[in-house]
Amino acid sequence: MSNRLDKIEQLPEFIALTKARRKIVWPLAIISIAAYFVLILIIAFSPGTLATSLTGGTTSVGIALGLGLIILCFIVTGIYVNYANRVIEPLVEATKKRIGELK
Amino acid sequence: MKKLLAFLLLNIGLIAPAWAQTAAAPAQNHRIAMVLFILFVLVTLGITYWAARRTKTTKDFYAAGGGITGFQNGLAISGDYMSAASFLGIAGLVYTSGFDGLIYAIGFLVGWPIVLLLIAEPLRNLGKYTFADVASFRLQQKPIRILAASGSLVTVIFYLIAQLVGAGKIIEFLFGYSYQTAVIGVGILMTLYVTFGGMLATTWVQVIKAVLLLSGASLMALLVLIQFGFSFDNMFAAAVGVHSKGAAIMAPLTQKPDVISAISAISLGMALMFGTAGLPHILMRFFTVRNAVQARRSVFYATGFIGYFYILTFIIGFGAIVLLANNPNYIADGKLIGGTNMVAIHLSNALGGDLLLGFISAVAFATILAVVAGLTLAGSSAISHDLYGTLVLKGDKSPEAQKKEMRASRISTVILGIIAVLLGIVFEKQNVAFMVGLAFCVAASANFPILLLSMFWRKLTTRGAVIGGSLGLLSALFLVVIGPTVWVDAFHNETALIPFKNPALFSMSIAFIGIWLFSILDNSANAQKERAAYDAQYVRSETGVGAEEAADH
Repeated sequence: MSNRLDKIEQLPEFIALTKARRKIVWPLAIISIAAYFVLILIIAFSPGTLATSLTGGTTSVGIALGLGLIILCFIVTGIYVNYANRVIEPLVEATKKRIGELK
Repeated sequence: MKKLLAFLLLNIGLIAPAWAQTAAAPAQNHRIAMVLFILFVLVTLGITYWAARRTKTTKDFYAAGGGITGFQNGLAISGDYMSAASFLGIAGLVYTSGFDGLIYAIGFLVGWPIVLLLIAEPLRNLGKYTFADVASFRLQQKPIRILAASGSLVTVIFYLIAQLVGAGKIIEFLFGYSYQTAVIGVGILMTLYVTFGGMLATTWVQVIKAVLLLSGASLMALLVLIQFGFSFDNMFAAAVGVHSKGAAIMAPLTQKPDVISAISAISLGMALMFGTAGLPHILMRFFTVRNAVQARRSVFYATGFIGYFYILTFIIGFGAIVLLANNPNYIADGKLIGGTNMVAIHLSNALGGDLLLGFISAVAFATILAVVAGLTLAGSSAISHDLYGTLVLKGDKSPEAQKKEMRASRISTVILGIIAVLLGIVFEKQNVAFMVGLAFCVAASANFPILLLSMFWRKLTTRGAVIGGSLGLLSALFLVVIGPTVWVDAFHNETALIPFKNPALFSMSIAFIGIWLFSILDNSANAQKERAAYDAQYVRSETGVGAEEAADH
């Protein structure tokens, strides 16, 4: 059994799959976490920055950053789903096929 | 099922006279709201009747047979997550403090990319019905399931009390029922949906609610934006012009940097962001789809719907500032009639008269029901699948054992429903606002660390998970109790023992450090076996090979 597992883990398709996933998942997770906590730190330590007007109107930098963060969430999930469909899914299928051949 | 129909008729019989009695009372009672409200109850009970005939096995009960599509599940997840508290509460918060309300709303969204990136796919590949399945995949069943079920139940009960108390007050105000009648009515409906219709009925109640809530909120935001020529800047300018705090609402209201409030803000942020990824009723939804691809699609749609919804509530809050703040129809003694939770309700009347008011009131009611049904289902699964299935049935998978587990799940739903209603009535006069925060804090400090590390950290052992996870759970509870929300607001002490309202920063750290420390110190034979089993789990987590195939519809 463990012999078979070793063989699976050494499949080039499996290695490519885990690599591809790591390459996208952690950077995007860090971007999401960092963006949110940076905004919280600005609120805590430099709230005045957020009160400044964005382009001379009433809209403040704070409101723009807040709405921007919501949009960032859309972008992050969009990028990941697109990448997963294009790159990760074919690798999952290829790995599964190879695992089937191992039997 | 005859009983169900009998109840249904009885329910209408009870509703009609109650409406007649209160028709002369507050102006909030309208025929349109009543008709829509009864229609919603009838449709959802009809769905429950339909779902009950399709709910035969535990798989049907916990996971709707496993054949929900990603899009449907995305809608259902948003229906599970967007509570009446966020709709009415955040609109109210934007109305009173502008920017600060937006930041609060964002906290409830930022957890979703994390759920998508780190949780959804491996969770679906490894688990069957609850997140305890995943946490106990290569660890010892008994201790891990007891811990995971405790974390789930604590989260579910606090969340449920907060929702029921809020529901009682909203329904009391909107429809004129007494608080008790409202809580009992909601309790009966949610218990019926879950007991008879299981996950299938719960899913469709959530889908319908999500569609209703998103359409209602979209219409309101549209009607607001029309008034300002679709210019946010015009809307903000008008709001700043009439708001008592003026331009201050465009930025944080506290303009003085201070360390305590910075730590509090970071701590709340952690609870919201990582707590989302540890909510049992949300995690459970990922087992209703066929595979990891559909799980991924679910979160993609859910994030879109939830983010869009928070943008709408933000627009609604600002629209309310302009349209309600100086309108004598909605203001008495300088305050909004019914409190700031009624901002969205009053605004619907200001924008679309009785028709829109009736619609939005019915939507608020549907919103409450969908959320409490999802919570009840998650709580009853923790009892029947994790506790009863492991401790009493000892993991027996025979058809007889399945039948017993099925019966246990229905009984635990009814018991949970009764407990929730009783607690809802007990806590009527209490300030329960801290309970949602506490639920998120426990989810972030117990459920999330155990789940995350069991999936991604080879060296995790049962001992580490149990000690660290328990420390996280207990420290979260303890620190909330000695903090301002319970020690001062509920127990009426002079000052709190710690100044932080949400202690997730500390309890999460305690959990992660505890799990790490007691895992690496664990060199028992068991620990070696558990680490060796990581490879098999890793392959399945990445590929789904070995995962149970979901049923075709």
